[in-house]
Amino acid sequence: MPLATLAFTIATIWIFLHGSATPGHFFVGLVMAFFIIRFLKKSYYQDRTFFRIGSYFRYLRSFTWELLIANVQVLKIVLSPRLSIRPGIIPYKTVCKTPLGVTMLANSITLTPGTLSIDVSDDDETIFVHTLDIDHPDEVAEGIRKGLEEPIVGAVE
Amino acid sequence: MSEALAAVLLLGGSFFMLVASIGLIRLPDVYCRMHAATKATTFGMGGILLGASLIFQNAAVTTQALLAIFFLFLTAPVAAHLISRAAYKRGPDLCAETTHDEYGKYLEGQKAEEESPERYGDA
Repeated sequence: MPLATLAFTIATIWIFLHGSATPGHFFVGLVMAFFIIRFLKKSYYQDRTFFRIGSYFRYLRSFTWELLIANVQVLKIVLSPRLSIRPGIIPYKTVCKTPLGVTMLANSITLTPGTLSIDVSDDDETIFVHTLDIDHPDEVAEGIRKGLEEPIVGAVE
Repeated sequence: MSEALAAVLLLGGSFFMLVASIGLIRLPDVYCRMHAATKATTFGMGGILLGASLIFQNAAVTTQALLAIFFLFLTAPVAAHLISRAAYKRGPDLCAETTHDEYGKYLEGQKAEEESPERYGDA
């Protein structure tokens, strides 16, 4: 998102935070946005493409669904009287190329079904995933590919 | 109606927090415990914050709740990632039930590469 749009977004969020939509508050928001952007410009990842809103929403929907399954699975494992888990670390080869894509994928993996990303290899190609209950490593990888990686590739790659 | 929904969200959120705490005690090693800690707390916290914003029905509160959820989902996995990575590199071993450990192989391969003299052609 271009920096000017970012400034307006921050000012709008400020208005909502404040709860009163007057031009004065919007101006205060813009001034704050100016300083925020000034301090954080170096670490801001500038995307050349504008929003791909449709793909973002598809990712969000897919992610929310996976999140729901994740929590029910953890619930079942934690509350079962006999703790039957078979944890392990498996490698996952990603097709994401950009730093943003890999970061989003690694974070999404941590938040979803029985998986936790431990490290990313130096060449940014393999994510090491700790899995709470491995029956078939291939199935785990397939789940990540279908549920998370494809929507992320659609949204930011 | 919205109060009932808020009640469900608050109770559900608290329930997931409880499950996370039980998981923290019951699961065998650091990595498994991180599963419980990241998932159930983000979900539980999300439920509680959404419930709170439903009760207040106020733009300011809702924005704050949504921003809190956003940043929670942004930061929780990063923390989990760093804790488990640091744990692997210098702390406790994986629990006895562990079946696969490809990360250990990767780290060993990396170490061997650093130590092998052939990499630089001479020496």
